[in-house]
Order: sequence, then C-alpha cells, then structure tokens
Amino acid sequence: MNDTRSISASTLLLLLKLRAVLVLVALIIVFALLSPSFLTANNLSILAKHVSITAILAVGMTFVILSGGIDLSVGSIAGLAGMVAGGMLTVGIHGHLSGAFVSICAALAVSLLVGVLNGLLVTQFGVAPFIATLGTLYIARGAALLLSQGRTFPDLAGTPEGGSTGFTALGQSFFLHVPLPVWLMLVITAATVLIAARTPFGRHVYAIGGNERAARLAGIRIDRVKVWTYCFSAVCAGLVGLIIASQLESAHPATGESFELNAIAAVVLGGTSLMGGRGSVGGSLIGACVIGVLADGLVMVGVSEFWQMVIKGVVIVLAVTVDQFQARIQSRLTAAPLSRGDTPRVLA
Amino acid sequence: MTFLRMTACVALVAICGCHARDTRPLIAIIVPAEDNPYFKAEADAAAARAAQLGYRTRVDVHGDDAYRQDNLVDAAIASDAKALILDNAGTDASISAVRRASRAGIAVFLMDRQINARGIAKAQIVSDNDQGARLVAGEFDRAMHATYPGKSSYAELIGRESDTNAQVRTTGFHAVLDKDPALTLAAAQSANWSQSEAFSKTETILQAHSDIRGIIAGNDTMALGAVAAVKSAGLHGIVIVGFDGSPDAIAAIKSGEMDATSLQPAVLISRMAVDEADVFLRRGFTGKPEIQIIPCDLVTRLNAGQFINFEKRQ
Amino acid sequence: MSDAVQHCVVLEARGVSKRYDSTLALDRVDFQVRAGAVNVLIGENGAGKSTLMRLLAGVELPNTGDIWMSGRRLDMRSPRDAAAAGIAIVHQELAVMDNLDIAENIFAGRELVRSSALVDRRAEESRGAAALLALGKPIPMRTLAGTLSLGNRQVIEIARALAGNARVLILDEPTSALSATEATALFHVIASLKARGVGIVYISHRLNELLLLGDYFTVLRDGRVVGDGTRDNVDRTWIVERMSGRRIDANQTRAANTSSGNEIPLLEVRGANVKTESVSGSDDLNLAVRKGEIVGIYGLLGAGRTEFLEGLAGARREMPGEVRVDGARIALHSVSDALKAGIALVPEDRQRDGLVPDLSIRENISLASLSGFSRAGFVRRRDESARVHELAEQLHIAARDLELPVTSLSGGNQQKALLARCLMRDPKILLLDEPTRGVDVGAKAEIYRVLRSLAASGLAILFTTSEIEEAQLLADRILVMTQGAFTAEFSAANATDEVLFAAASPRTTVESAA
Repeated sequence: MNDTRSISASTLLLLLKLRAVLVLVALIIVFALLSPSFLTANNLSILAKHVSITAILAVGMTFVILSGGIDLSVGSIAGLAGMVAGGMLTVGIHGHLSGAFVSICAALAVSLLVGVLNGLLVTQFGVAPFIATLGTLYIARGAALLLSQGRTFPDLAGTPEGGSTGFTALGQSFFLHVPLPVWLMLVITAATVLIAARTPFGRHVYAIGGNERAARLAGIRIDRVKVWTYCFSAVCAGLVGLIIASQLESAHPATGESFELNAIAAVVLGGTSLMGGRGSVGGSLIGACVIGVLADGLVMVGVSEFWQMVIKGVVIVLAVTVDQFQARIQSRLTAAPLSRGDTPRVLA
Repeated sequence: MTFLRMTACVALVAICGCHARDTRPLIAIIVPAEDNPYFKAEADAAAARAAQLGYRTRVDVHGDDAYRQDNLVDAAIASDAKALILDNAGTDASISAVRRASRAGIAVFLMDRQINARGIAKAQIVSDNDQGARLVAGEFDRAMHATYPGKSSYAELIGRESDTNAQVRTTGFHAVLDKDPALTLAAAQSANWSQSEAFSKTETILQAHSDIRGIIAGNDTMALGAVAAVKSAGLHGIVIVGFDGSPDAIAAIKSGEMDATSLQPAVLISRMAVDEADVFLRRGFTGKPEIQIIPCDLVTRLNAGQFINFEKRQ
Repeated sequence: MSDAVQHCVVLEARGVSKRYDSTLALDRVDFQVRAGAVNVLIGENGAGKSTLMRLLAGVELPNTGDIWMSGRRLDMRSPRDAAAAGIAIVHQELAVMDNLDIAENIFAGRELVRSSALVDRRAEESRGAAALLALGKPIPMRTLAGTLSLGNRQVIEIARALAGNARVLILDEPTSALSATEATALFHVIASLKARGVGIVYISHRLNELLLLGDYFTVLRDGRVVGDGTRDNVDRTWIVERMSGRRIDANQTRAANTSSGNEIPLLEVRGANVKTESVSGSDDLNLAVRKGEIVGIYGLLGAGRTEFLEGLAGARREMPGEVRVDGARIALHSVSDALKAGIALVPEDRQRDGLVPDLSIRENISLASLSGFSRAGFVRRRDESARVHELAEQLHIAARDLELPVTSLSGGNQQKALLARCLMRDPKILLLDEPTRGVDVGAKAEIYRVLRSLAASGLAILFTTSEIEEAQLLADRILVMTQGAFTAEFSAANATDEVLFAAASPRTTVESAA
C-alpha cells in the first residue's frame, strides 16, 4: 500500500521535474495547430536564432544564480559590448578602424571587465549581488550611451577597403544550414553542462549555493569561484550584444534593456532556485526555449502585445509555484524511507 | 598650515568662479531622451538657437517618466529659468508640471507633443502626426501598387501601444490603407519603438505570412529593424516605410532599402519654440496662436538628398 | 518550600511525542511545571530538552499528547497563543532589539494602545518600570537596549514576560553568557519570581546551579523521561547517573595509548588565544597532541572551545600564537592552509557549517577533495565514486544509495559523512567539535569506535565535548577549558565526574547567592 503511493508520488515527481519540457512540447503543439507555418524548417531555424539570445544569457547566468547570486547587469553589458564593437568598426580609435575580430575580442574583454567588477564588488566589498549588479547595470548602460553620445553606430557591415568586413557573419551566417548564433548557443550550453556536472568548479558552485559556510570550511575558495561565475555571465552577455549588433548591422546603446528579466525568467523556468544550490544548466536552455517559443508563437498567431505580457507572466508564476510543489514532494519522498524503525542496508 | 593654504586657494577659486558666473538669462530645455536621434536633433537645435540669441541653456532628459519631468521642472524653477522648452512626458501627466512652471513665472513652450490643456503654455508647436501618417501611407499605397499590381498583403509594426503618437500614427495609416481594397493587413504587432524587437518580430511575421509584400512601421527605428529582417530572410522588393525622417532612415532610402518616411521637422519646430520664447521674453507676447501644427514632409528616393538631420535643406 | 506538596501543577505535558523527519525527538514525555517553584529540566545535548521547550512555548505542535494548563487542555498553534495562556520563554539567544529602548522592548509586539490607536508611552513606561522594580533592577525606561550588559538584557526579557502576566517562565541556559556577578543577580530575580507564584522551568548544564536553585527535577535522555525527583531526594550522583544512562566501564572499551612522551608532538600550539566579545580568556593557550593520541577538550557552552578549533582549522582568518605540525611552523590564514598542513575539522553545527543539503551523499563526501580526482579539469567520476564507497564502507555509513540527498541520512550517519569528507583529504590531525551532538546512542558508540581505530592508525585527534561521559569514554587525555583558558588536565583514568565538573564550572559565586 505504501509502495503504490510512493510509486505514484515518484511518477508525479518525474512529471514535475520534466515540467519545463512538457510545457515546451505543449506550446509547440498548440502553435503548430494554430499556425501552419510554425513547424516549417525555416521558421524553426529563425525560432532557434531568437531563442539563442535569451538562452546564452540564461545559461551564462545559471552559475551566478546557482551560487546564490544574481546578475542584473547582463542586458546593459550586451548593449555596451555592441557599442564597443560598433565604435571600433565604424569610428575607430583615433580614426584608426579595427577589424571585425579585434573588435569582437575588445568588446568581450570590456564585458569581462564588468564581470570582474561585479565579482569583486560582491566578494571583496561585501555588496549584496542584487545591489552590486544593479549598480553595474547603470554604469554599463551609461558607458554605452557615452561612447556615442547616445547615437547609433550604423553600417557595421563595413567596407572591404577599410578591412572591416566580417562582423555581420557573427549574427547572420549559417553553418550546415543552421544559424551561427544557434551553434554558439549549443556549444556554450554543452560546455556549461559539462562544467557544471564534471568539474570541481561546477561542484563548488553548487556547494556554495547550498551552504556557503560549509563550503568555506571544506576549503573551497569561495571568492574565486564567485568572481568566475560573474565573469562567465558577463562574457556571455557581451556575446549576445555582439550577435544582436551583427544581425541589425548597427549598434544602438539601448540594446538589451530588460534582457536580464528574460534571462532570470528562463533560469527560473528551468527549475533553478533563486536561493541557489539547486537547478541545472540544461533547465535554463529549456526555460529560454519556452520563453522564445511563447514570444514567437504569439506573434505568429497575432496576439496583441498586451496579452503577450499577461501570458508570459502567468507562465512564469505558474512555473515557480509548481517548483515549490515539487520541492515539497521531493522532501517527503527522500525523507520518509529512513525514519526510525526502518533498517537501512549498510553498504558493504 | 598647508591645509589652511589649500582651503584658502579653494575658497578664492570659488569666489572668482562666482564673479565670472554667466549672468545671461537661462532657458531650460527638457526632452525625452538623448539616445534617440530625433530628440537629440531637437535638443541640439534648441540649445544652439538659444545660445545664438544670447541665452544660457541647460538640457535635461526625462526619459518619458512624468515623475522625473516633475523634478526637472522644479529644478528649472529653482534655478530661476526664464523660459522652458519642453518635449513633454505625457499629454495628461504633464499638465500639472507645466502649470507649476507657469505659476512660477516661467514661460513654457511645448514642442513636438501637446498637452490636454489650453492657456497654460505660451505655445504648443507640434508636427502633424496624423497628416504625416496619411502622407507616408499614401506613398506606401502607391509603391505597393507600382511594385505589385493586383491584390497584396502587408504587415504593420506599431510603436509602444500606450503612447499617443503610436495611436495617432496607426489611425492615420489605416485612414488611407483601409480604403484600398487591394491591400490586406496580414499582421499587426507592437515592437515598442525598438529596432531589435522589430527585427525578431518581423522575422517571425514573415514566417507566418510568406505573402507579405510590404511593411509599414510607426517609426524609422522599427522600419530599420524590418529592413534587417527582410535582408536576413533573403527577400527582395518588400516595400518598407517608416516615420520620423531619421538620418539612418534617409540613408536607407537613398540606398533603396527603404521606400519612404515622413519627416517631422524637429529642427524647425524647436527653433520656432526658441524664437517665440525670445519674442515673448522681450515683448511679453508671441503674436502667434497657442497651438501651431507644422506639417510633415514626405521623403522618398527622389527628394532624399534635400533632407539632413530632421531638417529640409534650404 | 521544604514541603513540596504545597506547590500545585500549573502547566503539564501529558504523553507528548515529537518526530522530525527521521528521528523521534520526544517519546511520550510527561512533564509537570509547579507554580512558585523552580522546575529543573536536565539532559545532555540532543536529549530533547529544547524540543520539549518548543512545544511548551507553542513554537511547534506535538505529534501526539496534549498540553494542559490549570486543568484545561491548551490548543496552542503559535507562540502568540502560548503567550496569551501565560507561558513566556527566555531563549539562550536573547531576542532583545538593540535599537529600541527598554520600554519598547518590553512591549514589542503587544504595544499598549490608547483609544486613538497611538502607543501609550506613559502607561508602557510605568508598567515597565514596575516590572523592572519587582526584579530589583530599576533601570531608566528610555535606555537603549544596545547599551545594556548581557545580564541586564536578560532581565529585560524576563520583565517582558512579567509585564505579560506570565504564569510560567521558561529559562533556557540563562547563565551561559553571564559573568559570575550577573548570574548571582539572576538568582535573586528567580527567587523573587518564585515568591510571586510564577512557575519557572530552568534548563542548564551547570549542576551546581541546578542543585542550588531546583525544587523539582526531571531528567531527559534520548527523548524519554528517565528520572523525576524533588529537592529532597536528588543529589549530584543521581543526576549524573540518569543523564548518562548505564555506566560503561571506560577502561574496558579503550585501548590504552602507550606512546612515549618524548617524541615530537604531531600538533603543537603555543601562546594562542580565543578572545571574542563574550570570552575574555587567556593569552597563552598551549597544547600538544601526539601521533595516535586522542585528546578531549571538555568545557561548558561558551568556554571558547569552538573558537579554538576553528582557529586551528584556519576558519577564523587568523590564528594568534604559534602552530606547529610535525615540528614545522605553519601559517593559518585560510581553511586551505590548514588542509594543506594536514589539519581537518568536523564542525559542531552540521546543518549550518557542514552539509550542503542540495548535494548527494557522494558529493558531500568528496567536496573538499575534488581536485584530487580531476584530470585535465574534469572530475573522474569513477575514481571519485570508488573512493567514496571505500570510505562509506570503512565508516559504516548506512545509506540505501550514496546518490541520495545527504539530508536523507540520520544524524549519526550525517556526522560520519562529514568525517569521511575530512578523511578523504588524508589528514594527519583530525579536529572534531562536539563529535556526537544530536546523534543517537547506537551511532555514538560507532563513532567512538571509528575514531579510536583512526587514532590507532596514526592520526592525532583533538575533540571538544560538553558531555562528561564522552570525554571519559573517548579521550586518552582530557583538558578542561573554562572562559577561554585551559584550567586543568587529567589522564583518562583520573578524570572523575566530580573533578571535571569542578574544573569546568566558571568561578561563579554560587555560594554567595545561597
């Protein structure tokens, strides 16, 4: 009797764990029924490209959130990175234009710098992550506006004479019929999954998020790990900014406004706890897919902007509510079998 | 000792600074944003004209936030500005701020956007959004027929839907386009004035409706996002029009990526506002009606060379 | 007072049981609180005292059993209900708000209000002052609580209980942070409360205090009541025997450590101190532990034991004094410094400082040694699992599956998992802070056996304990720490209950209060 109950409970738990995937599948089915062109190869390719923006941000931020922090600055970093690259490609430093590769590297380096700043503020100066990254959100946005005095850097396609072509490849080119941003998303996600599951760094991130005091007493260099998580998040954000600038062939300083909210929503939809310690990178990718499919599908079906917002909000709130439900069932399942009176098998 | 000397130096510098202070009358200029070419051109033109006429100027940005606008108006009152040139943060939300400034003896000149009250501001000089929208919609209609004889469908990108101008423009578009039985609206989406949002939404719309032959956008930024999306989809010959007449859009019209835009004479309007403020400060009246509506200019490939930075070359 | 019968029962727990996930914290406990008397509750750590207290104070609900007050069954669902019934509690960690003044503290949460819904300061001040006067502490009402001494803050909490017309007052380790004079003052307060007919529940580890103050005694062990007595038939031996249960002959279970005294000690500490805000302590803590030796530091709560061990483990940023491992001086700025030198600590508070609840048993055990299993930056799962299994087997960790969350283990097995984490670093010196806190009797014996075999294999082990029996059972040598200083040293054979108690009790002026 007890057995059947625990079996049904564990089935329920499995379904809850897979909820993001289930929601995703359900959304795809609904939109495929409502819009005949939804499941075409072309549309899926474009959908994946749109998802890659949120996904790269979300995957990048997953480590920060797993370690118990938050990164509000990613949207601004994306804007700043685009402006750095745009400025170097079109205006140049002292009139000397840079090539695409150099500009990209410089933009990523600037993003990394903001990440280091976030990390140091949190670890060395003890600023709460929410406040520290809120500060850098404004700093990076202001810096992006200052770079061009608020103007857009247009014509990032460059000219062959100037040696500045090639930047548009980042966002617009294809490899094996799949857009490059999608490959970037897949590579980054795969690498991050591997880091999370298989490296000491990944394990340390989970440990810090789960119990920071215990992690410190176990000899983990908490400060170092945290700084790296913010750096990783910032570089991913910078990459997103570059992809957008490359797709639009222009860099606008307001690019990326409120992207951080989409990224956090994706991470949370993917089942990662904002308290840290629990969650997964793969979940963040699925979460980003849910948000992307929802946004594109609603546009295809022709739902108005106002309703899109309401629906997105409902999905997020539902997901987090279900998350609490899952945690409760899980604790009941794992705690019950070892109560006093049971005789656990001694490993031998 | 050193400390005392340093303090003395600082005090001296401060006193000299006070003496050298600019005594010209102050004109405060408040615009929605400086990261937008339209508002930037507007603010720059106003500041330049005011300086030319012998005024001290200060440019502030309210970011479409009525509360921040309130604070900026208070700051203008506190610094004893003589006139306020304002591109306001909302037709209703701005009334109290304008009234407060007027009561404090500041002459308020509204440009670009009206408020829902008369007799408080000395002048409200705005471009004719409705006329501009009809103008560019007519050109859109003409271009669609010229390129695609017979029936064809189009998509519309709307600005932030809570924004008055977004509503006026879309109404103007439809006043023209809905009369043409050959044109069908396949999709209408808000892209919140944003280029990257217009890009991804256009990409999606083009997937859902492969028969789309034209895109009409509520501003140039969104139109340029649509241009990038059309390019990325490998499509040619899609008619794209925008609104505002930004330099980027005019460049796109010259290169054939966009077909037309409706240029708001921002520079002209802000110069008019400053000129009328100057007249008012010297004589006590402007000699013009409060509401002045300035028509927009249609920019197409044929006349694109005549326009530069929200201004028609003389 | 000599006639115990005249005290009537005001509050009573009848057959209450409380189960947390995997442990039965209280097992059908009966407990009576008599009015106008000091009702002493005694037991070792983990015996269930604090659980019983939480039930009486309405913080938690019992699984079975009821709580009765003056012949009426109480239905308490929150501490508010308990307060309304007249039950007040002063926790060991004082709940005084430093930023508020005395009157505000006394009436926090149940402010006196006039008809206008404004706080009635005047009424609060006069009633608060009356309560403090009754306690013999006429401190001005407008004094900020943050400026008061610890003893006076405690008085404020008691005054809060009095102003709420409490009929039962629970005091949890009230003297643990007090100086001798403050403790004496507290005893006077308790005497005056008794005279007013308040039933006092008094919880403490300090036997001489209990014997001095107590009228009724209840001993808890492993969640059961194992002794009930009145002042007339209770003495020190009675308490100690019931607290520790059956006496085990210490010498029988311990292999005598016979290593000679002239080899270099594996761990040597000179001139250290454990000064904190509440502990003044000596500047000259010296200690040496030889290879294969188990040294116990016995002391009461707040004696500075935890600070001393954390210092040795590099967890306090700086360890004052000189620390030598195998004769070589080491710097201790971080936990990794300590681990590199071969010092590993099993912390006192498993939940707070040890376990990562979201990780599996395996991941918790290997947490401190991941780089050892890594090749080219990746953890080799097979090596890791093999080593974890090996240790789990060696330490007899009872788990269905090492991939389950660590929270699924019982207290004793969680402790073993932390021990395994330390052992995985192959330490030379093992530090354990209260190694069997919250561990049941069977697992205790098991942990002792494991530690002894580790010592036999050449580790130096240093542990702290507040349980006399544990010190006697496990240690080859016992140091007594009192108020931040080592006050005595005994070999296991000489360490009787009496001498350990005497050495550990702070020089309280208990006698002067009598």
